[in-house]
Amino acid sequence: MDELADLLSQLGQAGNDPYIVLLMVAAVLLSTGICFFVLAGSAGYLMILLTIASCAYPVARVKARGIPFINNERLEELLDAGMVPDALSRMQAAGFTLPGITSGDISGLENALEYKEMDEYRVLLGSIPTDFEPFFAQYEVFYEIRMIKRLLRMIQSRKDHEEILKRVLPVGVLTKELISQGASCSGVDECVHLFRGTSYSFLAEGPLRLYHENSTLLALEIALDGYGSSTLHQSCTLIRPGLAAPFRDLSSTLIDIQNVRTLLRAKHAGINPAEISPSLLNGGFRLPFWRLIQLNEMMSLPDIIGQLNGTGYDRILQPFLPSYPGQDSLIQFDLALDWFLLTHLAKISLMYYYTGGPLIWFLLAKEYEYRNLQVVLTGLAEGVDPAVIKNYLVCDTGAG
Amino acid sequence: MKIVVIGSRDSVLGFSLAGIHERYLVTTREEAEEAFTRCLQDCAIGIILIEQTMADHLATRIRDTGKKRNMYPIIIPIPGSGDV
Repeated sequence: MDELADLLSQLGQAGNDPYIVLLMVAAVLLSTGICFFVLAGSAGYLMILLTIASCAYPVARVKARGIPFINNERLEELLDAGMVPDALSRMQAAGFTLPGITSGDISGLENALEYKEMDEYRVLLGSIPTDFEPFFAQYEVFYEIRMIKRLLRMIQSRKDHEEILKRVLPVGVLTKELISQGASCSGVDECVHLFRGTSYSFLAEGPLRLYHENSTLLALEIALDGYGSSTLHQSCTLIRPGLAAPFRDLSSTLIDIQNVRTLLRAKHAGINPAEISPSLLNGGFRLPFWRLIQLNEMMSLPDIIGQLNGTGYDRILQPFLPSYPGQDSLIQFDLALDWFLLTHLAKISLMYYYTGGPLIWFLLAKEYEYRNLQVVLTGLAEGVDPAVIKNYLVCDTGAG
Repeated sequence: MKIVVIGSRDSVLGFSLAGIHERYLVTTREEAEEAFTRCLQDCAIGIILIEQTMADHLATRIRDTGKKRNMYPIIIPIPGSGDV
């Protein structure tokens, strides 16, 4: 106590000395000045570093987790297994554990993969920086849409109530109760009306009328896909402008792809262009709206693809034109567009490698990985030739 | 598990403010190599944030580290103050 008292008394005496006070003030001002200039010199960079720091953990996680089964070699390894149990053990070695699933229960396998996919999405959503949350949270709408489409298809093909309950998984607005009510519906009409009061109430308007006129679910599916792409596009406006570039890039490409799909499917199905134009989305990257209107007026599907020159989509779709209209022509067009998106995702991941790029890549490419796994397992279980199965896989060709 | 940053003054200062305390301030290729080697030897390090210019110098070593099927350390290149 005495030592402390001495020290305080010395400091008090020093305070009386004007030279020491001046020296202390000068030292404080100098250190403040140095700090100010150092921080001011790199203020812009510091803001970016803070974003990089907040992304470091989720980016490291997605890098460690990886997406092995969009890689051609890894998929070939899986196909070489020849049998579902061997393929499952190879998947397990890559970190895909599906506990309690037997190789004979294919629908159980598909469900387990879909549950796992949704779990991965939720884990990713829980780990991303809050700045990106509007976009990633909104992405759930695509899982909802997938399940609503499945519900409508199963009702249309008059599947058993129990089978519908087994295959349609609850997600977002599609609760267990709603699925149960939907599974008891006598037709698509009744099921669509169940969505009144939800964000999918638009289905009961124009799309349902088109469904009745054309007797195909296509109009409902186009409306659902369009809704998904446009809501995701809108969510980009909620991201800070400095960080929004990869999200805007992705959503505008998604809108392009959605529009091309809509045009091709509608033309193939012979739907009146006037009925389709409200389903075309504005905000595409390579296809402005005026061009979409022109494309919609084309006489045939090959004409549309021919008019896509200069957009990049023509190069990937044209190789499948000679076999059009074949049994799986539309599937081949879809797969080509999926491949285009996957390649574009790899580019986004490389371009915006220090912020949202790798997270966006993981979110979307993971979906393709799970789809590839479902195709491989179902194909092997049904004894399909691996060379044929390979035609239905979407692989990253190493652009990323 | 530790996170380390290897980079120039600006990146090291920035990450210090963000709460990363293990850092290597490097200015030359040799210093970067030495820091990278020390990081690889430390099993507690899970994530290495390395400035892009340094990562370019060490590209072969980073690729070799990635090829080994160990999950850690995960190497994340970050842009330097001159790259953004």
